[in-house]
Amino acid sequence: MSELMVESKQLTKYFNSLLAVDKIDLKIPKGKIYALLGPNGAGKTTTIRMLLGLLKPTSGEVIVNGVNVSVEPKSIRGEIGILPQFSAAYYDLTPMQNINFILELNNIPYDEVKAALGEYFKTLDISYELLNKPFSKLSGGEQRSISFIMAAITNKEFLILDEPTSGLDIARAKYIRSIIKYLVEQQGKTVLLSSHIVSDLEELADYCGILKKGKLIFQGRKEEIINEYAPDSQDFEDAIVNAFGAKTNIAQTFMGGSK
Amino acid sequence: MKKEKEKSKQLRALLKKDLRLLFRKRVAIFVFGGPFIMMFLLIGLPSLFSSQQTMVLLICSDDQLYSGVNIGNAVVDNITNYFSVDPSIEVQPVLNFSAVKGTENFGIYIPSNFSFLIISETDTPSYFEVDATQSLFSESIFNTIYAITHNVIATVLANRTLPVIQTIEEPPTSLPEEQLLGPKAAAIAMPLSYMIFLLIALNSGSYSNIGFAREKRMRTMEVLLSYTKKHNQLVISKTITALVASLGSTLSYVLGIVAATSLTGGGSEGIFAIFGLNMQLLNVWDIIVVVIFGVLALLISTLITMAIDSNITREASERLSPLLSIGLAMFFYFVAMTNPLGASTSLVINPFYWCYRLALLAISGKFNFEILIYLALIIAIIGLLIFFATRGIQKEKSLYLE
Repeated sequence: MSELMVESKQLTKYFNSLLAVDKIDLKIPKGKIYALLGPNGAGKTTTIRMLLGLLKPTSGEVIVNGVNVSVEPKSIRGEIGILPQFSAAYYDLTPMQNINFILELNNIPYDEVKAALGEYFKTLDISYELLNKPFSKLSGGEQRSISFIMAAITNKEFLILDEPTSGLDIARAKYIRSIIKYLVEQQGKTVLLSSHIVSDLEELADYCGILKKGKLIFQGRKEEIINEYAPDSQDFEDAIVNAFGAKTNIAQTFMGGSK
Repeated sequence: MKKEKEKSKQLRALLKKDLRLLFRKRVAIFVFGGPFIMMFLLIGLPSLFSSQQTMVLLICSDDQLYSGVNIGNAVVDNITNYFSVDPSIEVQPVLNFSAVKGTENFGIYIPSNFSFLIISETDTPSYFEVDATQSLFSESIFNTIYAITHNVIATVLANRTLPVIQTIEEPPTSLPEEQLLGPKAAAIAMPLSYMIFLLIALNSGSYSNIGFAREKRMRTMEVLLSYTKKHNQLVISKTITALVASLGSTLSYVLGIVAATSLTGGGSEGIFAIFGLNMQLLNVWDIIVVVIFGVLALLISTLITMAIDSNITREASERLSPLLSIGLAMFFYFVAMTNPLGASTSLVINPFYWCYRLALLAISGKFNFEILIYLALIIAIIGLLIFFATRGIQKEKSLYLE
């Protein structure tokens, strides 16, 4: 692996007696897309929050872009662009006001990103009219698109995108995937992607980490996970389902053995 | 240097966002319009159908002059003159002690040997106060009467002549220490205590529209905490916004009262009467001092609410957090009104009392060590509350409402 954006060592988090993250050694290379996968409750959100410095690890350490977040959580503030799982925008403000707030919070002059914003709006079919409506009046897909723009426009070297295409129509999901690829391939950004949408993972992920009950059970290139968990079918979705430990034979029953 | 600039820009961005959320249509109507309508309806409409309630102070002096001086009559004249400018109190002379005793109002009776005892200094003179109504405000009235009486006596003893009838400026030095604050402080004490209570009680609801519980419910805490370099700026921004909301709604209350009193022709004098402010004794600077310390009390109330709100992760925090603040304000008010000018030991732990006491000391011009102590306490509690509120939002469970 090349130079690392994130490196954790024996990262562990307990919530009282509940073990949420169990001694994980995460390695996210710079300039790549790393998909953090796992069934619900596997510890993905807890891991992400530890990277952001919002949760203090119970033990172990995590270094993000050279900063030991476990020791200096303040130093990482404002250094990571984030798209949370739920739209983290203000529903009473307009999309433009929300975007301006994020720009001002990150000390980014509007003029500096005006052209990029225009491109984002055009690509994601966000009209001027839409930008000046209250955020609450937007459709789910439009809200998600604006939230994505709010994360991408921060121009951070490291982006954490939690379910970026959730609730989007096929076209918008495709455009967002293209933008993510552009950000990584053309601008050299690093993306930590958490998603349950197989098409996102298949198209985007360079590396995968699979969390199960707080443990990182697999970490490696996308091809490696396929060889490890679905050597026969060579199907990425099968590999993930197998890695999660789900019963693929049930799916086979219902699909008439098509899988 | 660059980083500091960046941090102050972040505070500006947070403040802009919080103020925008405050001034959105629905909230603005609730916070700024509601109080006006409420006060206009509560005070304006009833006042159209009823006359202003006045308290009656019955007064009688049987004092037989001694050595050509009648101190009892001088006291009566001074009291009558003092309250003549106060529309809420009507002084009525009566003929004898039984008429005073028979009153359902307040009463003062000065016996026949009053001058004799004072001038001959053979005994301590006494006069009688009747507080038939047991009104909550009676103590401040009698404190005033007590101050007037002693001033008259002190003047007579010094000059051996009747004092000129005038407003009492300074209390006698023989008064107990807690009453040395002077007539201005006496005039402002009761109005100030219930104004502080009212400010806190009336504004407690407006916080829920802009507080951290709302951010948690909207799931915006994660982004705020990730991008903001100094988390106490989140608290400071919310505090300033809450103060703007509180002051705006207070102004709305006041305008509602002014509009309501204008209906009855009272105008700005009407509002002073409603708040019990004797503008013959007080000047603009006194009112400014009152406003400053009222705002300080509001600031502390906001920070108490915020510290609790940010430390309780459950949805109930929105409702629970103003309760402690109102509870403290109620405790302060009910203890303060039993002895408005006294330095109450049971209130020394109450930050609203510190603001109140500071205001009284400032108005009476007593810039002493006590002022420094209360100032230090207020600065310390503000710092502590900001610290606890910041620590609260950094707690692991503070990201979402559970």
